[in-house]
Parts: sequence; C-alpha cells; structure tokens
Amino acid sequence: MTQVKPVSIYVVDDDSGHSRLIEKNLRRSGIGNEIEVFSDGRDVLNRMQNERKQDQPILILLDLNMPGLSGKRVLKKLKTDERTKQVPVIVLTTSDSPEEIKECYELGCNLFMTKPMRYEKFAENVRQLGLVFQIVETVPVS
Amino acid sequence: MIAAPIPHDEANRLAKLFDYRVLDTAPEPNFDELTELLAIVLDVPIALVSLIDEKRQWFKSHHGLEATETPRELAFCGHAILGDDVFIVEDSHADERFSDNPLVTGEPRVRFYAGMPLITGDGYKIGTVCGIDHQPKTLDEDQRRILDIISRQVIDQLELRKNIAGREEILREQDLTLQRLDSANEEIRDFVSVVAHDLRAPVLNAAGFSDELLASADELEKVIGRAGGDLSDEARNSIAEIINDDIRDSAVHIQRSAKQMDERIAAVSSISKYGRRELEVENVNLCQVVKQVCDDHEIKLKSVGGEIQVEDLPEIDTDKMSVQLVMENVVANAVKYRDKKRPLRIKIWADVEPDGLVVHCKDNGRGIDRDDMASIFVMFRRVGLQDRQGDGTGLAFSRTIVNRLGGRIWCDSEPDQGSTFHVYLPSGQSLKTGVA
Repeated sequence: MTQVKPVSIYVVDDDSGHSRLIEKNLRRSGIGNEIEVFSDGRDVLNRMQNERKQDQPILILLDLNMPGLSGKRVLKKLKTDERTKQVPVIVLTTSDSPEEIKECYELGCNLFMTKPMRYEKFAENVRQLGLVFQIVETVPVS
Repeated sequence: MIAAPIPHDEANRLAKLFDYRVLDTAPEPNFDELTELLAIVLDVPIALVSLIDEKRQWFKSHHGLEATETPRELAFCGHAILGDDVFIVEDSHADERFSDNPLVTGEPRVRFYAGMPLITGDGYKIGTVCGIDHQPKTLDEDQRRILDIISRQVIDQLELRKNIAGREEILREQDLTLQRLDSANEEIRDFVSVVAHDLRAPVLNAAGFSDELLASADELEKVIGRAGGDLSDEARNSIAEIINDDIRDSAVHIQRSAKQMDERIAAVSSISKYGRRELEVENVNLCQVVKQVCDDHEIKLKSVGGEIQVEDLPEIDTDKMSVQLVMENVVANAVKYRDKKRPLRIKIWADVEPDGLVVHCKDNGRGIDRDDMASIFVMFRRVGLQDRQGDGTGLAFSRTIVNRLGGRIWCDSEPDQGSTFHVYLPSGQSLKTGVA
C-alpha cells in the first residue's frame, strides 16, 4: 500500500499565538491542506533541504521578525537554493514599511502581507490566492 | 654679551602669546607679505615677525632668513620687547650687549637691528617685527613710522587669525553637536519603529484570540441548541448568561482595547515614518492644498449643513506634504468637534509675516476649556466631551510637523463659541536642514 503524503502548508513564526491563529483561520476559510508549524527558521530550512521534491510544501507563510535566523535570511536561503526556490512564499509580518516590502520582493517573496487585526479576511485572501495557483485543497466549511 | 632681562609680566605675557595659538603654525601670506614689505621699505635683507616664547624666539614670518627660531637669550628682540618704542642697534660691533653674540659673530651676522614690539590691545609685548642688515645703518623718521605701523598690522592679523580660529572651532563644535543630535534622532526614530512593530505582535494575539473566543461562544450556543431536552431550562439559562455576560462581553472588551492599542501604535509608527522622510522644499500653492483638504471633507460637511470659507491664500516655499498633513488635522478637528446647536462654519485665511506666514482656521465649534488648553497638543491626550472617535494624536502630530518646519502652532478658544488654530509657517530653503 502506498501512502501519498498530503501536500502541506508550512507556517514559520516564533510567536505560537500567531501561528495558531493563522492555522485556525486557514482552516475556517476552508483550506484542507496539512498545516505544519515551525517556530525556528533553521528547522524549516533543514527540513526543506533534505526533503524530496514531491514532499515539499505548496506554500510557506513566513514571519520576518524572528530571533535567531531572521525571516529575511530564511527567505533569501529558500529563494537562492535550486531545490526550494519554486515554493511560493508569503511574507507575513507586523511591519508595513515600504523599504521592508521592497526588500522582501527583491529577495523573491511571492506576496507580502501585513498581519491583520482580523484574520478572517487574510485567510480568505490566502485561500483565493491558493485557488488561483491551484495549490490548496478545499474542504467544505462545517 | 648681555642677555635681555625677563619682563616683569612674563607669566601673563606668555599666556597672552599662547592664547593666539600661533606658535609653530605654518607660514601665512598675510604675515610674509608684511615682512617682505618691511624689508623693502627699510632696505634690509632680513625682516622677521618674531614671537618671544619662554625659551626661544620663534618666527611667524622670516623673510631673507632660513632659521625659524633661535634661543631666547641670543634674541635682539628680547631687548626690544622691554620698551614701548622702536628698538634700534645701529652697529652691533660697537654695542657691548651684542658684540660677542653668536648671531653677530656668526650667521646671520647681525650688524644692524631695528625692532618694534608687537603690543597687544591690553599692553603685552609678545614679540617684535624687525629688520636686520649685515652692515651698520640708520633709520629715518618715515622708516620708523612704517615699522610702527607694520607692528600694529601684525597684531591685527594675529587678532583676526584668533577670531577666525575661534569661530571655526565654534562651528566645528556646532557641527559635532548637530551630528550627535542627528544620530540621536535617528536612533529614536528607529527605536520607535522597532518598538511599534514589536508591540503589534502581542496586540494581534489579543485581538485574534478574542475573535476565537467569540467564535467559540457561537459554537457553544449551537451545541446547547442541539442538546434540546438534555438540559434543564435553568441550566440552559445560566449557560446563556455565561456566554453572553461573561464570554462575549469579555471578548468584546479585549477586542476594543486591542483595536485601540493597534491604532495608537499605528499613529506612533506613522509619526516616526514621517520623521524619517526628508523634507522637500518647493513653492507651494496654499490655496490648492487647503481646497484639497476641504474637498475631502465635503460630503461630511454637506450632511451636517456645514460650510468652509477659504480666503485667497498666498504661495510659500515649504514642504507640501507637511502643510497638507497639518491642515488636514486642523480641519478634521474642526469638523469633528463642531457644536450641534448651530451649523458649522469654518473660515481659513492667512497673514503674511516677515520670513513666512500665519494660517488661521476659525470654527464655531464647541471650543476648548481654558484648563484643557495645555493638553490639546499632547500625545494621546483627549479633552472635553468624549463622544467622538479619535486616537488623540492629530494635534500632537501636527505640532511635531510644524516644529520640524521651524514653525509654531497654537490655539485661541472660547468655550461654546469656537476655536481658532494658528499655524506659523516659515518660508524658505533653510527648511532643508530641518530635523524632526
């Protein structure tokens, strides 16, 4: 029996509250993919550099402001590595400074979003975006 | 040889000399031209500006002589500074004070010497200007007079030099202070922006999880609805009470506070962002700026039957964005705090002042209590009736902006009559150096 690993979304954020809220709201908006949370940028890099292509996530939600390895450095490493550069990355952060936005796009982020007060709208946006790329699996909202 | 005695005021004399900070400095044309002139007029091969230091004489200018200093005990000038007038040795060979002086017996073979003391404004003789020849000589009246004049020219040059150096030092210090201020400012702005973002993270959690609580309350209600007869009416009622009065009410309070906090952080952050922006001074059509601001409020004004009257406003060299922000805040304030008892009337006009202008914005709103006047430009401080949404940053922000332009904002107000805000805007390119 071959078990196909379900395609997943990685959430990288050192604030466990934020990742929990992101996860809950993605679920509520009807995203059915497996969601895996990393609180340290190094862990996600380790994982992805040793992962088979077919096991890689279909989307990464990346926080910028993390201790240790910052989100920008994670982004740079992901986007300069042949093995990982094709995975879409949404940068999700508390900042909305134009310089930061510019820098992230230069580093290759696919979308920059400021963390919102209400996550519903954000989760809906992610879902829509995923549908456009045909990368998310939807499940009926209970 | 007889060395010159030390003057009675030596300590002060030296202090005065050191004050000029001229010893061991590079040659300067202002002095070299004077010694050249002196050599020509006295018809001598050597002319010097000699300053008498503690152990040496040092030459600020040495026309016709290689040496830049000699020991003090050999110096003819040491004798010259004892008197107030021109000191002349017509023939050193015939003068017991100098006949065996190494400067006479050897190079530069001083035979004739004429030196006029350099006398400072307060009477200290710090050195001489002198002419030297290898043969005996006499001076006529005109030559003595010229020597005297040149000595005063040298003192003037030394004074000028000191003043310029002093001013340069002040400027350097000012420059340094400004640099320090600039970097301190930059640090504060960076700090504010970092803190603002760091503060947002926990606020977002408070907001997000209170939403979760509300969603859970909804879920819980559904579950209880489905439970039907499994629950007694009494239990049902008290659960409903807990859901509404405790869970929902608490969550809504947390949400409201989080929202408020987020708005304040956003306000602080936008002020810091404004501070990071460079001012761009250009010719600004004030009329256009104010009209634009009024247009933005037109719908609101119409709905409350209000009117804004804008008089002809002059043009001014300033930073357009700053003026826009200030006028926006001032007008928004007038609209927000109108008095419902009468239709809102706002009048905007300007007076031209030397180096700038004052823009006035008068409304017939509810006015500000005298006691509250001091607080209206303070961050997060809101005064009067709290029946309007606001983060309490508009006027504080306005003051920050106007200060950055080097201007001033103030207010006259009569409770129940209305308020007039005045904004002084300086004009000109000088704004370019403004720091927030």
